[in-house]
Amino acid sequence: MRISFLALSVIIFSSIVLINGCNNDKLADADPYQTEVGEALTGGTAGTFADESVNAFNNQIANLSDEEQTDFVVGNSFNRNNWVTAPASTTARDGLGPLLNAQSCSGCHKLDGRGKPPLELESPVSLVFRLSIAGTDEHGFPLPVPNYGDQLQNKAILTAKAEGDVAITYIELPGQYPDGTLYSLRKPAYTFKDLNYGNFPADFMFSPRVAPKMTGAGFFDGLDDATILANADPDDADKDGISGKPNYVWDYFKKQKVLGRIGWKASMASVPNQVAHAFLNDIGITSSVFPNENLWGIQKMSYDTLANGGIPEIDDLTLNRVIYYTSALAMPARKSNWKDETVLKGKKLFEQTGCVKCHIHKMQTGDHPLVSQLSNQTVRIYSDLLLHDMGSGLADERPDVEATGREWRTAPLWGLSYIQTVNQHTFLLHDGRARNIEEAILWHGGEAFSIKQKFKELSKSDRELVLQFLETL
Amino acid sequence: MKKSILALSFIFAVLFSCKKPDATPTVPASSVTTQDVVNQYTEVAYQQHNNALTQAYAMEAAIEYFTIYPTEANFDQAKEAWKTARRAYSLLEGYRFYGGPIDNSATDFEAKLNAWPMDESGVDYVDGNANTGIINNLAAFPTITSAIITENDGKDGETNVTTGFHVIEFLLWGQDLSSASAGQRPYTDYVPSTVSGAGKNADRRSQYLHIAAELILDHLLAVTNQWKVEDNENYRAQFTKAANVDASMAKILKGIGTFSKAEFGGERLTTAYETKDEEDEHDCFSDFTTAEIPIWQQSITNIYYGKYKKMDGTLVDGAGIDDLIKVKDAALATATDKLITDSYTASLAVPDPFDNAIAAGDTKIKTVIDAVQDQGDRFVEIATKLGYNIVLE
Repeated sequence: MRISFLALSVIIFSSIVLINGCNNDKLADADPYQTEVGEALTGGTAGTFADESVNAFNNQIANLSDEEQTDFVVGNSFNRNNWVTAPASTTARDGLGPLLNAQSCSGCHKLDGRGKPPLELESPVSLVFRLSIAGTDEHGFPLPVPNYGDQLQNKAILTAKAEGDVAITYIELPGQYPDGTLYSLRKPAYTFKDLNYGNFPADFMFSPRVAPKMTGAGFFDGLDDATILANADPDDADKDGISGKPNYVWDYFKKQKVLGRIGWKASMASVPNQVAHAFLNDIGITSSVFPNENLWGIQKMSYDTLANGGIPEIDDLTLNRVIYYTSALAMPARKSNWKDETVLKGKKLFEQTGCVKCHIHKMQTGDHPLVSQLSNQTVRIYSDLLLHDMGSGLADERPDVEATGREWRTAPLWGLSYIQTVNQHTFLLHDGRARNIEEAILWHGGEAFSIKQKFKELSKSDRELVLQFLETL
Repeated sequence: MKKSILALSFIFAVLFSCKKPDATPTVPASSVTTQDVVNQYTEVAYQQHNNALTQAYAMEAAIEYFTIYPTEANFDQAKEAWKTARRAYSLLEGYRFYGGPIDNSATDFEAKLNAWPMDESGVDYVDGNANTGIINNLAAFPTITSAIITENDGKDGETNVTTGFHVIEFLLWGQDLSSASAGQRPYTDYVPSTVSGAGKNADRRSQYLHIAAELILDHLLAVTNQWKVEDNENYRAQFTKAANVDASMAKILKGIGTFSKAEFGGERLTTAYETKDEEDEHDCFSDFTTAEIPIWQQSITNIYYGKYKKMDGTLVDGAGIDDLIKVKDAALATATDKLITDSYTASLAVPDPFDNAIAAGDTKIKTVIDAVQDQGDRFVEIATKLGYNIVLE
């Protein structure tokens, strides 16, 4: 299947090259919304798989060797299945908690897709809360909250107590387009409750973070620093109002500071760092990289004697397989209607309004450190992976390494249209406040304010075209 | 409720056993249509689900009897009944992976019936922790009810597994702590006693065990009803509509293809074979995995040929996918017959118990993996031949 799709793509796209090569000028006249060679191949020829089904996010990239195939399958098993409380018969899969947010990766990243905020007043599942107090640790990460750590674990195994819970309420903020069309945005408010390890200190800060889709993250590790930095302009030297700031963060594997690529504030170095960090903080699974349970202060005193699932709880081989699995997930191709005229018009408008200044549509990977197939691929991430001031409306007011409380990494838009199919919702932004793509656009502020204004000034039908284009990513 | 269904099941069994084996003669291959194959698929699906339901009733009855009269002999009877019910259930594995009655995301009965691994210490005591689990937690769960069990099951997706076949298995066998045998839970776990330690919370354990068995019935009944023929609104009615048969056929092939390659060959065997972790086997308490492996293959075989041999020996036979392929590509049909036979032969050769075979890295497991993964790819090829574009999960 994979091969035949690829072959087909190659045929289709080589014909486009041929046609382009022969009558380039004529074609440009006839087609003002010109398509690009390989435009539908979001993850490049090697990293794209056409699947518009509920499984769009959990396909493997093409041409895995037998050994890689095995790593992928086993990695998926440990990604998908739940971890259980130690001791258990399934010794490879025990060691859950004691404190946790989920029992498995897929508990939040369902079908490797994206999480969502809970219904009002319900307990969050795939939305976690990073916690900190003022100051930084030796690596530059925010200081953890005493007796809680740097993430609120709102679940625990039976013999431990969850850290606490959060109640979410929303207020509606009405707004209006210049053409008179009304809209309403919802802003979340959070109340921490049932805190089992004492009150939070006065200088406590928090940042809500929805589980992003896993698929696609592997490609970021394949981009050379220079490729990402080419778009950086931290002091806005070109005075276009757009900065683009790299976040240099500690790499727990390499033991040095590197350009962060992963997470809502690019505060995680790479997929391996992210996977190991999530195993510890989200599921309570120790690894050779993070050998200590995520227990802090009085938690440590209370739970240090509980049974663990081995030292470490996930062995290096298995951890590496989950990392491999995550890295070798193929991006779904653009939706099959990507060449429709309305979609191409929307694409043009997306470019003209300036969205592409940060949502950079095309980059070239270098040598991928882990998955050789993903080297030298043209990838259409629709992000610069850099930090931008997004204004006070979206600010969490919690610095994260070099990211300020107003800065967020440009959200990669690829795979956007598949969230509804895979995860049965359309909630967007770091805390899931946007109920659809349009609301996500309307939340843009700070550096993106004037570009958002341009979008708002478009006619209703042109705005629809932009949304139609985004619905094919 | 339960009694009437049990009665109904027997009526069905009697009805069908009255038919002669050749009551549905094999249609000559050349005249078989996609509609015939889809119709037969749903009939075999119904028969196999109904059988699984019948055996689950027998298990529930044996478990109930044991909880009332907790003797060693009755304990063994309950375990045997679990094995029989498990065999019947395993024939349903081929009906997954296309969002059908057993695993559509709205109800996801598969996760309620068969989730793995289970949260042992969330249910009952484990080695090293005598007081854990819902059964031993009187403070948080003063009474054991089905509401408590279902409420704690499947929270956040397939997590906190507190019900299903593997939970019953754990409650009957206990943890498998020795490579020489299956789990050695004593039947006295279910005998109330005033002696300190012995039979602690036996009454609560009995209640839990029986409720878990009843929940299997509820869930299996709901799935089986979707395959019944009488109902005009159910899944079978939609599945066999003329306008839907092509989509249905694609689902059938995607289902057996994905089960064969990704689940059977991948998740279940490759993971165990590669991790060499003894208890990374699905029936880790009862050591029943080796017995089940050929049944997983049988599930695929039955669907492919549209054929099912009932417990009483009568044959449900009709149009199969093989009949469609024979016409399109006789060589492919013959090669597929061989691949299916080879897969089955290989699956019979896996040594018992499976945990020891995993630990020893027995290459007979690898033979099955290769065969059933080829088989999965073969169903994609067959789909293409029949004009369907399917993607395995």
